[in-house]
Amino acid sequence: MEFIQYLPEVITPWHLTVLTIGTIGGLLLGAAPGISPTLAVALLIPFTFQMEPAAALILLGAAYSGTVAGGAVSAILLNIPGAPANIATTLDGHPLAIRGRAAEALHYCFLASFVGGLIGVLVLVFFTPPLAQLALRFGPSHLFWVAILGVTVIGSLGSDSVFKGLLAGAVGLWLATIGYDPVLGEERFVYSEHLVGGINIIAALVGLFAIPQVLTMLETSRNADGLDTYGLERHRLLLSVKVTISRWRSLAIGSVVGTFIGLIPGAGGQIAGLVAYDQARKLSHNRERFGQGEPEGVIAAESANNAMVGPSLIPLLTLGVPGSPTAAVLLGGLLIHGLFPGPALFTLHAQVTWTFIGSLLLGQVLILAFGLYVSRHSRFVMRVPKHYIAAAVTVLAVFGAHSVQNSASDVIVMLSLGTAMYFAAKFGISAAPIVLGIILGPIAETNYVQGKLIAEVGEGMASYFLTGPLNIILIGLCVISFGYSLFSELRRDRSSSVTA
Amino acid sequence: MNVDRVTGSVTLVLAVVLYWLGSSASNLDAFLFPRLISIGMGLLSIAILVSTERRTTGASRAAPPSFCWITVIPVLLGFFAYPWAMETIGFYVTAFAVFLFIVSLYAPDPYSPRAIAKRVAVSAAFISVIYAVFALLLRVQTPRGVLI
Repeated sequence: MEFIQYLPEVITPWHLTVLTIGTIGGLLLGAAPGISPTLAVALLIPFTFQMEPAAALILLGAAYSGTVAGGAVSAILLNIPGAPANIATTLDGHPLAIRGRAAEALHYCFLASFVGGLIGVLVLVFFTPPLAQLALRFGPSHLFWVAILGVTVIGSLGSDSVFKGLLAGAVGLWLATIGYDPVLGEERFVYSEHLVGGINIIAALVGLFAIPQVLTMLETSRNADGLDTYGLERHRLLLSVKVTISRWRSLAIGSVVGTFIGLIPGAGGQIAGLVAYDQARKLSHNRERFGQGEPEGVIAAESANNAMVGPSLIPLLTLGVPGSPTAAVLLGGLLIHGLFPGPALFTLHAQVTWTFIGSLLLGQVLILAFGLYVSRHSRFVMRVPKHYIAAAVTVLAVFGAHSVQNSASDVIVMLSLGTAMYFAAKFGISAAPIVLGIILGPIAETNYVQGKLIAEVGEGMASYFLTGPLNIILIGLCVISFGYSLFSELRRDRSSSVTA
Repeated sequence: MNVDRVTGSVTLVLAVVLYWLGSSASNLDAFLFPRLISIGMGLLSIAILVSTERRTTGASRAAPPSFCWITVIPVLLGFFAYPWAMETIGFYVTAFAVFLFIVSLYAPDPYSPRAIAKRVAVSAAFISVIYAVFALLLRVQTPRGVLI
């Protein structure tokens, strides 16, 4: 099996060093409130420019897994989720910390993360190659629908409002058309010299994720008061292992729910954590203790959000459709290093791809090993005032945007998009669908035009784009994700109007 | 102010403008895809407006956005000056100035000689690390300007 064949590549001294730095850095960044996994990975991309692709992906993958796990530290100790994926962890993790059982809660958290993360990565190992083979059958019409599916799913499932989410996706698709037409070479919407080369993906995603976060932190930084963090008591790890194993049901629910939700493009860790928490509560014998410091709540939430990481990369690596906003940023990292998602990743770049996947597996062990140690010292990171984090993120964002092409234009585009996103976010527009639109826009357009040319000499547009089993399945998935989200939104509106 | 109504109206106008821009170009074939997207944007904007009108209650969504945009004006002005300054003065010196500007202006604690010294020291330390990593270790090119 290729996965085992390339496993020794992961444990070379250089790759192991990068993996350790990425994991510890991810755990610390995840513990800092305001630094989400998406933002952390976006800010780290410039650090990878000088690296060979395998090391670059190892660093980004380790940071992704590390920040998701590290986000639980601030969720438990501060009651502030380090990332949206850790929202469910606060529900029982923080009550445990209030009762003086913070170390115990962190034990559950990292043990559950380890199990969930391991299962998620194994699913990635076994499911990616067959899906990549299936991707070989995809023609232009299918790839067009795959791109539309990515934007539709992340727009509808990842946003509070279906229409606003899809609108954001459409804005992203339109932004991707700025610059030169990929087929005819015609200049489009270039009203400024800074837009001649189009919108650079890295500049866009750094701007869209980092700048609104900076401005939001600065909005409230002056009235920030000291946060109460809870100290860590001495607690025997072996006892926590026993409790975690005895709560196998929550562990299984979290891992299975996280794996399935990770496979759904755009769903993300927040949904995984909350759904797993809810299911674990419903099926638990101690359901009345949920919300008051029940270990099962922490175990279900943390195993779910880490189990989501591996599967969220399956649609990314095989079809180029990210399973989460962070995976969308990781796609930017892949493209920067000349790696295009699809079957070629497992043939031409098999060494890089399998080394990356292998590092994710080993990364789970490192998260468990370092997680508890780092969490003891992450109180220093959590106490860093917001205005210092905002200043650091600003400088790194500018650096990241500039270093892609050594261009001040990218910095201007990054700052402009980020500022616009800050105001748009106040009106309920989310960044993730825009980013995905920018990333998938060229794929959608190129395949649309190619498909149109094929259709015009053959069966016609409607027949080429709307018939055939694969087209129908992909269109069906678009309709289902839109319909499901619309139905959920209407039901939510109805229940809120009844409450009002 | 109804947030959804504002969003729908602004994006509808934007979609119309984008469609018009895509239709008034010389080579219409190159603008086919952007025109299709602007049609989609227009339809989604209309859907937002219609759903806003149909919603009888929805106070939470229609509530005006709560944000102190005046607070962020100084840093927005700083953003406008940043690209110019980094090419004129130098990347790392500008980064130091911006870092110090943000941590000084948005600090919750009052100004005191000790607080100012701490901010300068932290800014210098952060930029030194960035310089060591990017300029010395990774040898990434940055605009030099008059200084570094």
